[in-house]
Amino acid sequence: MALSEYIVMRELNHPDINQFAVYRRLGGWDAYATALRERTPAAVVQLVREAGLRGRGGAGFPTGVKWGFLPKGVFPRYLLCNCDESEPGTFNNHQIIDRNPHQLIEGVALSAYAIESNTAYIYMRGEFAAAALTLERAIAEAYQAGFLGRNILGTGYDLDIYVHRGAGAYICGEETALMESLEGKIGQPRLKPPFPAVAGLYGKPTIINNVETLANVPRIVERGVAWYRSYGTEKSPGTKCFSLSGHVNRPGNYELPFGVPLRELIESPEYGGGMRGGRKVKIIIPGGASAPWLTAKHLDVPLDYEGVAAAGSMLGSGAVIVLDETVKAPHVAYKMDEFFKHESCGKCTPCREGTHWLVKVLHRMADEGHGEAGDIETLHGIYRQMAGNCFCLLGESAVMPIKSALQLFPEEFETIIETSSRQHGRGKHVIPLL
Amino acid sequence: MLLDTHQSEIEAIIARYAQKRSAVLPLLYLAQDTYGYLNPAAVREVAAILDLPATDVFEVVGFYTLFYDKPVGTWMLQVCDDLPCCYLGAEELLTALKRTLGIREDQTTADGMFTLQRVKCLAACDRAPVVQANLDYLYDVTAERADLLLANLRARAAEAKQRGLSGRSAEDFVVETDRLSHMSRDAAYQERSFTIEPPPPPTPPAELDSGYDLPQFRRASPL
Amino acid sequence: MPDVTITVDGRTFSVPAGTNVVDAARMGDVAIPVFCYHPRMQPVGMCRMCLVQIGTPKLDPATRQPVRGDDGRPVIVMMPKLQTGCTTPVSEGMVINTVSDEVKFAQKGVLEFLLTSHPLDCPVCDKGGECPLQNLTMQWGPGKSRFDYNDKVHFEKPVPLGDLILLDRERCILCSRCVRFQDELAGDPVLGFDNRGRNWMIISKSDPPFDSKFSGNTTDICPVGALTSADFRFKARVWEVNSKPAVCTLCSVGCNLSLDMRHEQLMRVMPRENGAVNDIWICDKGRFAHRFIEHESRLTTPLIRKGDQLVEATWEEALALVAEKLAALQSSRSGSAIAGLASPRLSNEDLYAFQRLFREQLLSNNLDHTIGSPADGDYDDLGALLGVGKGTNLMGLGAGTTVLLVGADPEEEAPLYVLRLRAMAQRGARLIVANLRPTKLEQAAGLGLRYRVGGELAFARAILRELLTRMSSDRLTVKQNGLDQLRKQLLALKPEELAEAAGVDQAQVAAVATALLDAEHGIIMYGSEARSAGPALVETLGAIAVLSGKVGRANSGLIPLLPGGNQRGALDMGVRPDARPGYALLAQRGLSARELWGAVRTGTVRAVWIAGLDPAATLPAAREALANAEFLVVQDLFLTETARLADVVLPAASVAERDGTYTNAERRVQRSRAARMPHGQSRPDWQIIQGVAQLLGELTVVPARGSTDTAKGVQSAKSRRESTVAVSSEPIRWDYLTVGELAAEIAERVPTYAGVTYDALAATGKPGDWGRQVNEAVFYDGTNYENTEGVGLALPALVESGRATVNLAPRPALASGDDRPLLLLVQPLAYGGDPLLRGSLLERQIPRPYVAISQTDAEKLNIRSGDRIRLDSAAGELLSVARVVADLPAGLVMAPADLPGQDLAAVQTGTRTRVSLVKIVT
Ligand SMILES: Cc1cc2nc3c(=O)[nH]c(=O)nc-3n(C[C@H](O)[C@H](O)[C@H](O)COP(=O)(O)O)c2cc1C
Ligand code: SF4
Ligand code: FES
Repeated sequence: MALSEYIVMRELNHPDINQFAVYRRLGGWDAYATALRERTPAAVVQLVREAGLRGRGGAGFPTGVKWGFLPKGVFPRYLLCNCDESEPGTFNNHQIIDRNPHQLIEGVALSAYAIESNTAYIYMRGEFAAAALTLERAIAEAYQAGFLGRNILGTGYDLDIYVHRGAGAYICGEETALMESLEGKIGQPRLKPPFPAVAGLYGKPTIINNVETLANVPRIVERGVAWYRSYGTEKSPGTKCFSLSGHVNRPGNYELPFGVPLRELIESPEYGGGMRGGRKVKIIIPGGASAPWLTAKHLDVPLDYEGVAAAGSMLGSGAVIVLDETVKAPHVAYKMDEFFKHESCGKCTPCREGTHWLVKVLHRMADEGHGEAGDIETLHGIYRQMAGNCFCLLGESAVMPIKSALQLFPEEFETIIETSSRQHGRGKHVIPLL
Repeated sequence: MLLDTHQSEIEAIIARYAQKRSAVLPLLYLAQDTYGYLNPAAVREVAAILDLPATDVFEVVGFYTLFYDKPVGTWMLQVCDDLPCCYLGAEELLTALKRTLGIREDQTTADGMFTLQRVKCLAACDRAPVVQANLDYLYDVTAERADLLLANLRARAAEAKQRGLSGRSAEDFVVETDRLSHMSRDAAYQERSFTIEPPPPPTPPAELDSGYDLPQFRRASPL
Repeated sequence: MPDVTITVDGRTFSVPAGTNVVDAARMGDVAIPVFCYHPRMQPVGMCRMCLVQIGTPKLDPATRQPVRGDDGRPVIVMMPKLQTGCTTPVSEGMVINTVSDEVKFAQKGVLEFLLTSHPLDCPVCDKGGECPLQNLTMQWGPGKSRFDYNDKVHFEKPVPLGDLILLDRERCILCSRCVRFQDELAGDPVLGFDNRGRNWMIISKSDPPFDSKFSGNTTDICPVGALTSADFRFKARVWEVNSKPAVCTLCSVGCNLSLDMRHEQLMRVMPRENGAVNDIWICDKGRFAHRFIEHESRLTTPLIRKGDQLVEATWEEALALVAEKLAALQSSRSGSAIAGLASPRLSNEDLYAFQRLFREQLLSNNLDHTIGSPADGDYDDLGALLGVGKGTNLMGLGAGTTVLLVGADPEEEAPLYVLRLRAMAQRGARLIVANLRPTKLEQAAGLGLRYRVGGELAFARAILRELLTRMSSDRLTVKQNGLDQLRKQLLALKPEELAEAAGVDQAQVAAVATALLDAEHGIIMYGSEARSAGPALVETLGAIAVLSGKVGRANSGLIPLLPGGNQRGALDMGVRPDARPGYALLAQRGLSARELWGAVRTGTVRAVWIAGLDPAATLPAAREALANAEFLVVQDLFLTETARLADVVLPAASVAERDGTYTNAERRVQRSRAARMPHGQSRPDWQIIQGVAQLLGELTVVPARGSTDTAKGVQSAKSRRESTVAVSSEPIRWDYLTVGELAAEIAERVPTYAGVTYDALAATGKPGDWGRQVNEAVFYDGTNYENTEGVGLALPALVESGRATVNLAPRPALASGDDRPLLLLVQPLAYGGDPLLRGSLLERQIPRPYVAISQTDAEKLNIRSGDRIRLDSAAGELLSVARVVADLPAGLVMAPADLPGQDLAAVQTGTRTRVSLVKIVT
């Protein structure tokens, strides 16, 4: 059941919405202008809180509540929009920017107003160079129209929005690492507490939200709480842009109300269009690389935070990767952990060494086909030594793929060990000692 | 010197931030585009502009993958080998590219035209396999289209040189069976037609290694 | 801080609130293993070694009171995940479990992970035997690793990170202690990380690499053998060495050292903990320079001049010759024909004995502890008068303290003060740095001020004037005179004119005054640049301390940074022409070093005894005078330029070869112990002095105490046995068997040294008084900072006795009629021409001669770095090479002190010299 009116992916209703004039004609920036003139910042926060908007960056934390954590009377404050989008399977943030940029900028502006900040940065992953240009152009148009800059619309409110490009590091999506990166340092997460709301960018109170989260805000302010809550479920109101990829016929972003069953996203001809070649679903990773895996038996799980959690996984960033029976679980785990290994910042021991070790063993098993007795226990041991002990969630996420693979498909690991011929030695990565 | 050639741009960049140091990444991009790669002198120049200890800036160059501290080709080809690209033809594409170019990952062709790299997820999984060339996005690059892609890029070498490595004027392209079509950024949105054929089921290519673990591909010690 | 009660592994005890779990558990004798945590640095929680289980009492949301269970005890909610103890502050009722299965599994896991990228090359690793990784693996690690050895990372074995430190990247466990030490504590952010993830590695890209005066400390705090010192590499296994407690005499800080000896050989120098002096750090000079002790050019036997040659002699011959000559001169011409110079690096006992010999036996007051260069400043008496009060402990100071640093560059003059002042600033102290030019410490300062060239007196007066306007009599806690005169003269000056002359904003002057007045403790430090401005400046600084009420008590007063490790001791011991030990001024003063050379040339002074100084090396006037002196005795470690001119050369034992006490800049007396036998036949200075004194006693008719009659009846050495020697009724005592007897005599006779007994010096205080006195397994695991020899004793400032009076009457500024355009300042460098750098790795860092000139002046004179230049002054000319320094103020040129090959004395007219400068075009 496709939405008749989209909240974020409005290009589906209005293909020209990336034009500033079109966005304006559709009522764009009105919510912002009205809010500046008629609403207090606190009223905007209240609205967002009542709408039940939850962060789309992964944790699903209620946005209005987060905004309420700012210490009173401490300025300046910063708003950061997180567009670091680097987790395998996630790809909606830059499409929002490509197709509906002005709504994001209005969302950033409105949110900055709500938290009484005069400076906002949109942190884009370095690879999004083209999207950064789109965004910069759209921001320039907003300045020109008087929605940004000094004394906006005569209300006395000042706001600057800047685009800041990272330079290739997934960890910079983690909120405190992002701040380090924005401060010109290597992107390693900071110790918490203090939390960003208290001491974030430059040690000042800072709010950080995902692109999709902020793109929702203008619609909430414009159309109101009841309208917004008419989408989705009680606990997960609104819609979500699901990034669907893998062995489906029609990969892409699909905006659906929360609560739609996984099956509909994958099989409906309007969305995933079923599996390629009619093959069977084997592995579903419902929330980006850090989510525990689901299988075909979970196809009826409702896609909202609670539903996916009940199934033993997490909705995360809403990136749904569907793999068919042609893949081998150990190899999927290998590819995923290779990602985490590559992106491990190096700060903490369990993540730095654990991902490396996992990849060593998995590479030997899944890529080279050499298993050894004891490998399975070793793999269990490694991820257990990591789980719960890492500095930040990257390391914790790296546990999920291998843990899921071992749990769901232990026989595939056993087969490798059984069929592996001992004569092959220790694989080809033996490094001569001297 | 950067300050001589780009003074107003540098000042504008620094003005965006409450602390000068925040301008490190943008200035490194600028230096990389100006000098072709971040040689030690360029890094020190950025450090001097921002009054930072040189070590701090070298640290940044070493941490982020889009900064190149060695000379690279005119086109920096970055092939996503992550899930889901990996299962939708990225390995086959890499094999094809390596065969055509006669190089391995992290190497540059003898004519200095291409450097080939495996990279992790480029956040365009719906258009796998995905490649970036000097941060231009190239979608739907199946192995059969590798030669077409290379020919097109080769023809645009002068343009690449002029635009630099750091995406200061990046664009998007779709690689189709017979041509590369440019995706205009302000064109109206068009529903995508799903015409790309599913690639054959993945067969492990002859030479399969992740490229990251081999000692020779580890970044040589800077010391 | 209030205390909170916690329970660790079932034992309940109290610790100060805010303590982190690792430190807190330690207070209850529970060791939580750590790698990245270091008690001197901010916790970062990186290594994850300190994971423990933590629970807190469940609170009733309404009453905020702990909920009690059926047993009446608070219900404890355990946190779902293990927590890093190093980053978690304790709270009331917290329960900590460090031994549960989960904790053990996690600790084993982290250790196993760390070992996956570690080469396990302990048998060839310098750290082996004192390695936290080894030790922690023994106690907390898994028995064996499941990781495939072949999968380990292999890197080229050590690469130099600079001249002094080597990095073995395979061994590094990426705890970032070294990087953080350089960033947080040393303030030299020259270390960093390249790459990321498992390829993360330490780099240094400063120019030169690892450009820091504190680099050696990183090898101590490195918990593995990744950072090793080029000085110690492959020298010895640490269990073979014997740590001998010593005190560094290379600058006025007086850091506590351990000389790690293997038999008679010095293997390395390590810091010895002393919270009141150097904490657990030492600078690279202290660590690496002590190679002079074993240098092959050390003198081994006495030498006597035979014609043009110095030939080996026995001690008997040499001492007899000295005694005979001096006695003869003394009787024929009186003591005033004899002069003595002793190095400000000698121990208090040597210096005391030296002045006794001269005053009591040779009846000469021609004594000094400098070489008499025009650049030598005045005697710093004010530092003792107003010097920081007894009980001062910088380690305990933070918020509530203001430190005003004027005209000093501690990085070069007394490096460890950089660490101590930075740490104080981090603890909340207000650090104000005022200089002519930028210095390192300025970056750590809350307020950095630059007065204009020649504007320092105006600057100090501006502050003083401000204090006078805010005068309150209850702040005047010490006896003084001259206040009215001071008030009259200073209030007559206009504040805006003073500020203008100083080149400092009036508001900032007021801010300095406020900072001093508001502070509970106030310390004023000054260094070579300030002292070169003449006594008027130092006295004004003293007046500032007095008028702001920051004298006469602990943690307040003046700290002068004097050259020479024991210049304070030399002043205290009266090795000067005008005062006896204890600053007792003499009615009749002798000749100072500066007056000496003329007197030698004219023949007024016939014999000179020089202990540990080398005037001939840098002072042409001295060289010329000494070459023609009738009799020259030199007592030194090396055959110095001066020694080459001597008639008798006496080999002295080095600091490592003898006991002695030394008095540092804060007037703390500390005892250093012999680490080995004296080199060759060399003897401790005091023994040499006593040897001559004893012979003199036999030779001369000793006048009664206090009499100034000239001795008569000198006998030759050969005939002395037969002769009748008049023995004084009260014989002068020269029968010290040990240096301790001399020390006891000092404690008895020198005012303010009362109570400075060996027992008192050996006290280490109660735990908690000053850091840690025992080796702390957890934090410093491996590295032995243990201090069993004592932390020394701080002397009271003279004003604390209540008897001394401070004269506040201002004296006029030095006027210079010289209108040459530039001011030449001499800059002491840590790695300058100090002869004690010989044989060490630091020798390479001694710069070639140069003169630093500002960018502005360089442009005006069309000079670039490397150009040959000539300095002209009223005294003469100097050829050198220019080094253009961007942030030097215009009008100033600076030349390093004592650089071999740079004859500064040729141009110097005083502590400061007006010069003009031209480029030499060839
Ligand atoms: C390793 C790691 C990577 C992350 N990457 C992203 C990201 O790319 N984009 C994002 O919005 N949030 C990312 N997050 C989540 C952010 O830390 C943060 O929670 C989020 O931006 C908050 O926005 P929201 O409240 O709107 O969800 C990441 C978190 C972790 C631990
Ligand atoms: S888990 Fe540790 S190493 Fe991994 S990214 Fe987070 S802090 Fe860095
Ligand atoms: S994490 Fe606590 S000691 Fe390293």
